Amino acid sequence: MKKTALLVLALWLCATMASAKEITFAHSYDEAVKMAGEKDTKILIKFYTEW
Amino acid sequence: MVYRNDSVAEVIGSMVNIKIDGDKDSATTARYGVAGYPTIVLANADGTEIDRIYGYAEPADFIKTINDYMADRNTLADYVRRAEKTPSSSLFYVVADKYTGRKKFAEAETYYNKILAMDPQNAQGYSDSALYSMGDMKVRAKEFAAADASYKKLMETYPKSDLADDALFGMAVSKRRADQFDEAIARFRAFMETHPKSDLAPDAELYIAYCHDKKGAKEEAVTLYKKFIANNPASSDTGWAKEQIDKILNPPKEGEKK
Repeated sequence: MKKTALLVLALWLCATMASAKEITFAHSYDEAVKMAGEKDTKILIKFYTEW
Repeated sequence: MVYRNDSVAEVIGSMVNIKIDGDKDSATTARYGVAGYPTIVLANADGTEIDRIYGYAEPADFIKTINDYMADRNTLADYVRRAEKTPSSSLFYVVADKYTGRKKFAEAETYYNKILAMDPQNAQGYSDSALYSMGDMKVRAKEFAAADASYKKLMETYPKSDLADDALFGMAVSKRRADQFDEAIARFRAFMETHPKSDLAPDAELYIAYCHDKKGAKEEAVTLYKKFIANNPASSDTGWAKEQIDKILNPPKEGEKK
């Protein structure tokens, strides 16, 4: 029963990871502008705060 | 970074993404006039803003909004064009509101004044909102006298407006923001006396306690915070009021962070 549950969990994780999309994040605003200029694409900036 | 929602990932995957901590990168935060979090800004490759989303959005709403912005629909630029082609109070108000959100106060004021010029009778229902929003904007810009003028004009010109009592409350908040605590207390008290059933009356009561606290009248502040809690047990602010009482009665020791 435990082995079956672990197998199901492992299969689910693999399926999830396979369908997940990789998103590239720039490390700084200046880097984002540089990358966007090189790729001729838009920039999506998320402003947040820790607290 | 892996993104689990395929639809959202599909939309943002083609862009360069960046997360900015507003507390750490104040320069970029100020550049875009960000005042609250989270705020998501869609920009061109050179950094010029297209438009933004405030707060958290459900994936479907987020995707629709970003796709609209990418197609230059419902953006600031789109509304400016529409307002120029077919002037109306509603379009002017959206433009003014978008400028206010970016802290472009001069541009916002231009459009608020267009509303007042177009509809002095407030037939469309945006003129009172324009005056209220201008007052609020002036408080944010720390132009307190101008804020008072806008709020007063609203109350005098549109006394039956639903925003008239908000304007009176705004005048009290303006004094609080200006650190003129005695004047703020007087205005909040006057508001409570003339608008005892207003939804803002509990806020006025809490601000009175807060103003006493800020001007150093700690004992009175504790009494007033306790009175607020007793009068408004269901308020979401009772926890904050209790924290202020605790800070006054149990101040942190020297060198100790609380």
